[in-house]
Amino acid sequence: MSETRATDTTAPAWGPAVAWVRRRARDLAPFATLVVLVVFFGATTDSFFDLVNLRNILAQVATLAVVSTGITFVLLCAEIDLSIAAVSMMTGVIASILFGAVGVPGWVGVLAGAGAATALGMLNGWTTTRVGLPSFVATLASMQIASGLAQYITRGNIVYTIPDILKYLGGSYIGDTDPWRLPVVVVAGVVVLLVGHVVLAYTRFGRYIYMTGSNREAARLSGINTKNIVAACMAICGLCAGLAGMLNTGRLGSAQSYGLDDMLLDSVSAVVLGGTSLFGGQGGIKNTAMGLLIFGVLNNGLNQLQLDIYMRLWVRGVILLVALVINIYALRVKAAPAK
Amino acid sequence: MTEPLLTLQGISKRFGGVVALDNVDFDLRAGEVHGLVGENGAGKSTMMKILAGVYSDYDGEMRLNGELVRFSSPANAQARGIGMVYQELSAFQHLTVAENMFGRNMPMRAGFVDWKAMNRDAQKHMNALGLDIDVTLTMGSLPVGNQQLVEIARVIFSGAKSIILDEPTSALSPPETRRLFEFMATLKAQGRTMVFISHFLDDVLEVTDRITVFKNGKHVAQLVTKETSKHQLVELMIGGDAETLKPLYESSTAAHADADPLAPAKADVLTTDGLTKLGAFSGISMALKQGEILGLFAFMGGGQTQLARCLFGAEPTDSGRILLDGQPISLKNTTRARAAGIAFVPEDRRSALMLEKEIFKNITIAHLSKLVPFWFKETRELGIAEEQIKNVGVRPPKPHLHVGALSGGNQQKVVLAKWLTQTPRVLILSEPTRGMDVGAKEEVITIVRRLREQGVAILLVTTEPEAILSIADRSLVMRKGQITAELSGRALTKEALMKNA
Repeated sequence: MSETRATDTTAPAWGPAVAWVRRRARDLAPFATLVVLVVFFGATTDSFFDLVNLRNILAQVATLAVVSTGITFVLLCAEIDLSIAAVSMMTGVIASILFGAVGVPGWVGVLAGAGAATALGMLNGWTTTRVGLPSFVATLASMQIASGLAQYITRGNIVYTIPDILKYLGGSYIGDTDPWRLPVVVVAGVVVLLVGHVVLAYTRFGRYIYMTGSNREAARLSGINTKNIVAACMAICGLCAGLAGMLNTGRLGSAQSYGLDDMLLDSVSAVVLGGTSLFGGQGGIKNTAMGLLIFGVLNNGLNQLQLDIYMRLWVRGVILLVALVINIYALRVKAAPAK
Repeated sequence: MTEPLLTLQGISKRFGGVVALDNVDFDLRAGEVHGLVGENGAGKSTMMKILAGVYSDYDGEMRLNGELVRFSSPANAQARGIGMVYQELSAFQHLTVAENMFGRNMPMRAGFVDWKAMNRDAQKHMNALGLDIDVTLTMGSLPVGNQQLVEIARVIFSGAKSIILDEPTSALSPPETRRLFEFMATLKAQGRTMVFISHFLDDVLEVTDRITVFKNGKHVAQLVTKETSKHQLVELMIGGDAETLKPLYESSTAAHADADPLAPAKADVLTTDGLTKLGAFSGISMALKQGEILGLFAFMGGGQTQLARCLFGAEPTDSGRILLDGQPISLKNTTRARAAGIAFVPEDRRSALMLEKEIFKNITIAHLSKLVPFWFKETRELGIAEEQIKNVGVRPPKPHLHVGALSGGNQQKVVLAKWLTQTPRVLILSEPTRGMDVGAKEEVITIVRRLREQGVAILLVTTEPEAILSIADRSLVMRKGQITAELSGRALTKEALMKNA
């Protein structure tokens, strides 16, 4: 639907315009999905358009935005990282334990956590590109390493010693009266998305990522060190997962070795909902942002609807599936010759 | 004279407007090995596919033991005792030799596959053919040569008395080829009939009893192998081409005339010293000079493709050295090669282009780091791309169009343009004009000539003699991984190229 609309408004068949529409088609289908969802929930619930609720939607997807930025890099290379949720938990635990039990300054704990997360990401990159394991398998193993380390460090206990900087970033507000205060975590999420966007859209590195994901052999035969590009993306993904995990501890006020199990599926579905291809080379942070909004609106709206709590999950699953089917269909239309 | 086992008379076959076979005769005697030679596109494969039942709509008639037949399918042909072993092996790599041999007709017991019986029967069959291959191994674990033997055994196992072998030696090493010939001798002694299609004339002369020569879809000769020389075969295969090739010859000899007399010796840019990649090529020593086009001719599977890839760092070598300007250089990856000023146009455009991406991105990708700063805007990039689009003549000249929308010839121009944003020192072209129409070919050749004038050292790797004759200054010839000849000046002829390959 959005497809035809777009083609109608830019009908003249000269090159750049056609190319523009073709690029946009990937963005327009998710946008249509978002509009439909917003209109639907706006009409069926009383509180959806409340300022506080809209702000809540953003807050609910803020940490997801951070980890999704990383997964976007990896998916653009046509790889996957299954370890993100486990790395998130491990990182939160490391930062909090170092700060609490070991007694280092908060920022040292945070740096150490970020370092550990990046190191695991680099390990993923190394096993994927140098050893040649499929990333699906390599990250399955590192998922267990990360998750196991988190359990080993905490011995299964909950850690309440969160560095102040994380409490600020994850759990405090800018401004103080209710409708007009903004959670800092939203700002953090937006900043990470923006950085990711700039890197992907305006740097040579970003271009190499797209070209590598689009056709790895052709990129290699153009003199690109595709192994390094893919490995760098896996490292970035690890770092993002770590940042998300630490923000999350700040938001919750505690760190633990379990409880983030939904993060992996949530972030992959958000990124794919936004129109980024699982097969590499197509999509980007703009798409991811759109996917996050769809995801947030859907979750929030279903809560507002006051559905039977045992119904919510499968209804959400069905809607996600429908949205993904529409996306794929729109991309097929796009892939057909547009002459 | 023995009564022919099989005769084909007046066979014609068209594909759309293209005549692949034009009123061709062919006959096969029981118990002989019959060679079939001709250039690419001469109609050899088409003929054999008619024989093997792949094509059933043709004009003319086929008689098997005097009886008029028309095979409706490969299975039908096989049921009448004719089987074909294709050039691209079609075996299931993950299944065992026995499974491959039995295919869907596996022996069953009580509804389950009777593995014991299957392996036993397969092994018995193998041994009867004098082959010492364990049938419980997976196909993929066997060397290519043995896979070929299994494939032949499989065709015999399914009932073929006459076997058509399409380029069976092209992927084999010399010892593997020997083994195949021995196997063929065994089969012949058992009274089986074979058709042997090959580019390798030495092989044909060694194993066949008679030879049929095709040219441009026509039957030109049938010879008794004992009375035939290689020279004679080459003449027959390309004979009459002298006229049509004349302009090409002239342009190339003109180039030699320019280059030869008293000109200062050109410097060697890229040299190799005993370069070896196991299973692909060995002991390659050659020198590529500044401002020359050096041809590298070989038939498919001659190791030339891998050599080209190794010279760009796309594949590792096992021993030997590569030198740039006399200095050894380690081409560990393609990035090193690019930084050293080496450019590479691979034989397959799909491995050179991001088809779904825009033309300008495909052009700037190779030297992006030299063309734009780390943070960049597309405007500068577009300017560079537009310049190259004009330079090589991409049509339509729309930088935002995705490359997949272009014709093959124009895609190839984009691949070239990618390497011209910085003038390369060395340009390796692998099959740069294959499958292109005449117009596009001319344009690509013009670009390559212009680069030679600019002093680029160009290596032209190809299986098309015409491409070498039309632009190369001199040419190396490779056969089965080794350089067999260096030809230049008047010695550089199509005949010489094909004889040495």
